[in-house]
Amino acid sequence: MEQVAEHIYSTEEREQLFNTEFLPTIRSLYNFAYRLTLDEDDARDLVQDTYLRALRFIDSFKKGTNAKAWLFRILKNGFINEYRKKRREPVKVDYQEVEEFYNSEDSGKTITPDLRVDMLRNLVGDEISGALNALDVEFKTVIILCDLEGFKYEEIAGILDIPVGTVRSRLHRARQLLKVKLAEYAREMGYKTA
Amino acid sequence: MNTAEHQESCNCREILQLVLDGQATAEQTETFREHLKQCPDCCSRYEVDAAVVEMLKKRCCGGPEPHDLMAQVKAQLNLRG
Repeated sequence: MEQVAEHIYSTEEREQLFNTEFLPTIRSLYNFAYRLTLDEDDARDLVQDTYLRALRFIDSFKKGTNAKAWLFRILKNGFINEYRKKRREPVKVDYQEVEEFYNSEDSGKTITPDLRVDMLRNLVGDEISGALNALDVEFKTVIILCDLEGFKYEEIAGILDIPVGTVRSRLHRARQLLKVKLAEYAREMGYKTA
Repeated sequence: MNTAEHQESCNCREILQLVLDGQATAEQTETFREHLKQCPDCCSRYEVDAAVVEMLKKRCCGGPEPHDLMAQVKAQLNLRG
């Protein structure tokens, strides 16, 4: 956890924090957990574990700061440290390498998918959802945090422990990958791309 | 300006992202809106990106959490209320 001046909360204060700030984010936390694990039971476990950790580390929560971002950070760390380790799932993508590629001068020309608004309008929810789920965790995560949850770049950087510049480049790359997937779906539906 | 020159000569990809995410300054937004009027490339890129974000918001925010999850979490934490 981040090193901050600790505040020792009383039992009443803890209950109040949970009831007014932590528990109301349960829907967003569950959606994030489900997108990460793609399994309802695992998502449920991850959310429960997140709240238990929140209680354990509550004294490091600074009142008045963004409770939702704090909980998302705990959930993300829980997913990486426990869930992934348990399943011994290797990181599928060397995203450092991907980001270096993205930052290289000619990356824009080679990864721009051919997708038009009229093609998008004909895709249904399952396809968008499927395309998002199919992204590697690092890319999926920035899209969830930015587009679904509305976190600012600075907040995402704090949740993921990465620089703001990396948030932006990863987000750009994630959207490119998502558009490639959506263009594939559109092509399958018979749309011709140039 | 052709596409290649366009990509070499300006940082509109970065500004597009800032505008799309609502994190551009008023000045950057204004400059970008002016740029869109003369740049079909950026214009269509912006439209597609905005449509993708809109669809994500509409389709991927998920339904409610499982009905008993809240009760389970509260029980686990020994919380009332």
